[in-house]
Amino acid sequence: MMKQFLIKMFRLGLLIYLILWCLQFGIDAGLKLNQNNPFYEWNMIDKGAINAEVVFFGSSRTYKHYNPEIIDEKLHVNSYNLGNDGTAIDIQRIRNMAYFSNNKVPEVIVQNVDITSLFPTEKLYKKNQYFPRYTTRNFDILYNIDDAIFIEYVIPMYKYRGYLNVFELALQGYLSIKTENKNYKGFSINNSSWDGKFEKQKQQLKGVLDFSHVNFKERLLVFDEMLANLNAHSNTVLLVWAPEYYERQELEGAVLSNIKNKYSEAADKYKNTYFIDFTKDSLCYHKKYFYNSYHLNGTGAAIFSEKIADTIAKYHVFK
Amino acid sequence: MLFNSVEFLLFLPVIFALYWFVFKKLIHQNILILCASYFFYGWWDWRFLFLIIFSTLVDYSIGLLLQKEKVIRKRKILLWTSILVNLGLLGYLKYYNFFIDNFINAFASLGVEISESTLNIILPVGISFYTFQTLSYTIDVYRKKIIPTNNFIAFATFVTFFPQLVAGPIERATHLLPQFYKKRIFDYRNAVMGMRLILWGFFQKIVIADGCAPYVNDIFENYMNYSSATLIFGSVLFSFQIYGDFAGYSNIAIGVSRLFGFDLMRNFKYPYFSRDIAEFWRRWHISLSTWFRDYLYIPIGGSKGGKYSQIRNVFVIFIVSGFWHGANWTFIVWGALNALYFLPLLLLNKNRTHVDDFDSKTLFPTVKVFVQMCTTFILITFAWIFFRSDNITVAIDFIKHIFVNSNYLKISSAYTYNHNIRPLAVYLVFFILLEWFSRDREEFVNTFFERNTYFRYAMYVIITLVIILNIQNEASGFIYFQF
Repeated sequence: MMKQFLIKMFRLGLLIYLILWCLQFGIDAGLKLNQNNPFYEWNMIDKGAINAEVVFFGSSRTYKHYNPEIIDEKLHVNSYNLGNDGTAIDIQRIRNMAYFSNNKVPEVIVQNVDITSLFPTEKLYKKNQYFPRYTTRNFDILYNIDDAIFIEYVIPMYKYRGYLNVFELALQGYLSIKTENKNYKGFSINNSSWDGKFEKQKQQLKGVLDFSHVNFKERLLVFDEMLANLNAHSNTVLLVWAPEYYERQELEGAVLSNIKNKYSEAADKYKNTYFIDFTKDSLCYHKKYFYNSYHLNGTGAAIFSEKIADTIAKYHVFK
Repeated sequence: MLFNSVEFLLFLPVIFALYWFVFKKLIHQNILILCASYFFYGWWDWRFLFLIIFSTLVDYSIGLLLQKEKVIRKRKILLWTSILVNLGLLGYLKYYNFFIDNFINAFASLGVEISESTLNIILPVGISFYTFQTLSYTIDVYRKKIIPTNNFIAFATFVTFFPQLVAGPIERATHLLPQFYKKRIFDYRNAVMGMRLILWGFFQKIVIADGCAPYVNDIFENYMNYSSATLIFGSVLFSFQIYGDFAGYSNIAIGVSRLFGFDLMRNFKYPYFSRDIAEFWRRWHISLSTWFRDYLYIPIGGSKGGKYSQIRNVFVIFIVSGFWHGANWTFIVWGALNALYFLPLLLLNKNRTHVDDFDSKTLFPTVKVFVQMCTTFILITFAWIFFRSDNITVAIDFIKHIFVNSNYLKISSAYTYNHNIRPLAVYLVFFILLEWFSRDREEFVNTFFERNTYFRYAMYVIITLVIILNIQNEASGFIYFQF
């Protein structure tokens, strides 16, 4: 009777496992066809459908700052914003590598740099964007960041817990249904005005932004590896420190200039690689261009994008 | 250790394998269960194991002494020793701060200031459950309903049996203890039933209870900002949350026990289809209700005597039952409210009108029965507001807001705004319908899973899938653990 029970449990377990695995496979495939956020950019990269002459990499400070519409118009090129919200360089590297494996080599790479991007990612932001790609080799680093991913990998459908809309999203992919996409070539505009949180949280931020005790040596080595890779895949690499509100820079203190020097030294090591600093730009001194101390709003991003276009034109001559 | 944790998913198969394949002798199996139970409990906080061991030793010794002692007065002393030790520990650990606080407040209201001396006491998980279980043993030995055991391992295992140690069902010695004397034989059907109960228990806990929890928490924490409809919605969801949570735990406990060849008593019997309050209390937390009936209600007179004593007894049992849940006035009011609901039935001699099972011949209930069920559900849900609230003031304020914020059409909270409630609504309808169509059965899973093979397997897959999709990142505790 025990044997019968164990056989039954094994058979049933296996059956359930296989059915769930097939279901997950189908959903993953559907999500890989999905043309909406947060899957769209990853899918475009994998399909090799971007093939831009200018690409922008980085975190939310890329995602919110570089407007390809303005840059395309000014430079008469095809540019694309591949900024990934809530990521540091460890995750940004995954996107860089995926892009280089599937798309033609860009003429110019703009990598946004700052202090926070140097910190290793502790928690995956918008984790669902990675779901269909857990088995992709480039994504191995995710396993080090999030312990749950191993179990999510082993138990089919477990990664979709709490995301009950995946069935709908996969179906959208299969049926090529596009929902409203507010982003333009990866750029996400935020037209809000200054949110005032900076003033309220200034004291708290003072502690958060005190990086004086942090040893950046190891992190800069990771950055250096990334930069070597960027350099190998492009004619010109611009390391751009996009504007930050000046009072925030004051809180970051001396570390800010130290890190800037490190980026500048890193750029000097490579041919056609330049460090461009916008932290003293006039934009930094007006709240009206920001929605918070770290991100430009639509107006600020438009002005900044004009300036970036001019900068690109200054450092690179398009074929 | 929580049932809905990775640790338990590893613990259970290991103990199962050791139990059936390695330790085949009865004594060895009992020792294994005892060690497993201590491990299970110690996983939370090993220091409190000493408390369980102490309680076990006291009742084991008193049981043996009661057997030897023939003098009634001395037997009474022994019984009261057990009661005082068990309730003393429970009272100290669970109610000390409550009494001190109320004592100080009472004097403060008379203008006498007393310096506060509350203690930072950690309430041991499940203390109310195992205390009542051991008490039932001593009382039954005293009443000569059961012969005291001289098998310490069997008795200790009875006290600490891990599936039901922390949240019941509260077993009687007359039912569970003899099962530790007999060689257990693996029963295929029993084990399969156990697995089904475990699966269904997880559905109740993870999908229903944990699904309702964030809505309930948001609404009860921010009730002052929400419309009447939202507050009513939150209260109704709490009714399902607490049912899913507790019935889910009970089903998993019963299911796990069956895997080891044990039979635990049923704790819930479709309570939300009850046609009146008396019936509800025959179907809700049956192990506790019957415990209070047998060891408190009947000894103080029960339904015998005049109306006055009957009313007094009803209030005593409900208030004590409320107080058993926790050291807070909210539980006392909750108990008193249930007593008030019960009163008309008692006075009109209608408290045993619905002792029969539900009529399963018809697809839908009659209008009369439907109205009765809805009325009972509304009354129960109203009482749950006290149970869920942090204190009496909040509970009353919550109820006030139901009438003050009189928008009875719009359900809107921060959580409903940010989350799609449709899946939860589908699960709740599925849950209610399945319970309704199984309402005449002893065990819900019998009807549900004993259809044709394809249907059964499809249900296994669907329920497993729904459970997986609703697992929380952090395993959430069971509400009744705190009692």
